Amino acid sequence: MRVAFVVQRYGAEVCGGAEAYARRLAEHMARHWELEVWTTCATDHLTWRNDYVAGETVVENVRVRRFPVDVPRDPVRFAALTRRVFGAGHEEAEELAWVDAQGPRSTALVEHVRTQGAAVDLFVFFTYLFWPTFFGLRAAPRPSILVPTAHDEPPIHLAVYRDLFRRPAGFAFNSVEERDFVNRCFGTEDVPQDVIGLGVDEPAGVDPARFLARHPELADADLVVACGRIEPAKGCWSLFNHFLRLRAELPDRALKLVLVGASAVEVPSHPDVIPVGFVDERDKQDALAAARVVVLPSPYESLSLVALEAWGVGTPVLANGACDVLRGQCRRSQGGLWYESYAEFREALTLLLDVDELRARLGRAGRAYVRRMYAWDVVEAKHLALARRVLEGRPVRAVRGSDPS
Amino acid sequence: MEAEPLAVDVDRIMEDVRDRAARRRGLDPQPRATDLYLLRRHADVYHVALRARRPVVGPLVVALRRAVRRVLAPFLGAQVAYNLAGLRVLESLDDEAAALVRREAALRATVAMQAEALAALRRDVDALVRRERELRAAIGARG
Repeated sequence: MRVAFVVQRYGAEVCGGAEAYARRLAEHMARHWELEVWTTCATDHLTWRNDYVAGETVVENVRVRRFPVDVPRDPVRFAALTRRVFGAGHEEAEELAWVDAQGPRSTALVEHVRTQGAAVDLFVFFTYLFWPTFFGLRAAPRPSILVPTAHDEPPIHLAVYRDLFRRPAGFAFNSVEERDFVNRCFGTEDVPQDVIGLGVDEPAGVDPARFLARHPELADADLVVACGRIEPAKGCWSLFNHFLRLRAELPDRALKLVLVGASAVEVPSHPDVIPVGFVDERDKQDALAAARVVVLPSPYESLSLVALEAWGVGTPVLANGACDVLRGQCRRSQGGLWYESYAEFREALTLLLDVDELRARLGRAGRAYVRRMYAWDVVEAKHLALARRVLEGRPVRAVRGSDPS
Repeated sequence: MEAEPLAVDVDRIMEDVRDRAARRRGLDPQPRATDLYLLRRHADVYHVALRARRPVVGPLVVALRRAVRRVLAPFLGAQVAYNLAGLRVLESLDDEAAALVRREAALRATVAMQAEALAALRRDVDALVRRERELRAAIGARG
């Protein structure tokens, strides 16, 4: 079966949850399908600059076609439209202008979907939010599965997205909460769908001592590790506030907050807040294993890969309970606790740090959950089954919808 | 979706966490009510009962204390006014907090009902859209 993955960015240099999801899934599903990835030349989600060369290439045995972005994002126009469409009273045309300004606008990519799409049997689009999905879904001449990576955020309530969610012939959700939210918002219960998520590799050769040897400043302290992009949308400010307040209240406890990942903000200068920056996969696994607790401060997630990876190495998590998905993942796995205020952060974290047996049990439960639900063979089988259902239900669909240009 | 047999019950643990957190924040209504009672009871530091148990020395001690209180009356009066004003503010905030909690519960219930109604409306709209498509297809087939 010939399948085209359409995603806004793709490549080893690309940092982003949905993009990492698309890449890992493509690498695994390429064993089952004749698969191509159709994407843009951008690597940076703020500018959509054309960093890659347009054309065909192969990334980790996956054939990739890259198309240029028409224009980089204009941050001033985008900010103005954002204020307009998320304020009271605006036209649908302004919402379309906002989608256009958000980008990455690549008319060549959508034109390729329109003109060459008949050569594939199935499309898989990633992330409801961005331009290639918005217009690609309209242009696709074959059935499409959408991996929405949706959560309850302002854009999803824009009127223009209601039409988008009617177009896919199937949905691959990341979590029960995401499925319920999308079905509740768009009445999509009857469309073929499954909660699948992303597979997690069984960790091999993980060595927490190796991470500690590389960072001697972390020795002899309880490590609380936060992993991923450090930016306001990921809840970093509340994490900094909570942690620094905890340090002030419990100054005698040997405790350090380790930040693993690229930072988009200035990290507070404090001897117990240690940013180690972007690290490779092995270092990340070592850091997660060295942690007493992995903290997940993001209020918006459709699936936390970091949580799955932490559980994969047997480390419990402490999640932002304001995020339904994280709270649901903790409940289903029995692998972590959550907080909705500083007081709960303090109580839950100190409980996790003080009770070794609790940490061990949560870590074991989390690891068992990941093996049961997110082993790659389970995930691949679910995607294959969903694709079969979609193709059986809607064999061919005519081109419909408006021109993206 | 089941956890392994020896797994802990995270919901139960979170109940304990929330209880302890609430106590730490002082939001537990029971201790707050007790504290407000104590503040109310001891706000008037002027009209404090002056008693002494010793049969002979006692009345002298009480008289001495009354004299001291008269001397300190302007200052104690200011302190009483300050205490009562603070108490009024706290009681008013307590009432407002209780009202907000009730209002939040009511709003949550309203939002839940509206979400349900909205979902029903969206289902109706989708059904109408489907019906429209069917009718258009039927017209197309005829024409």
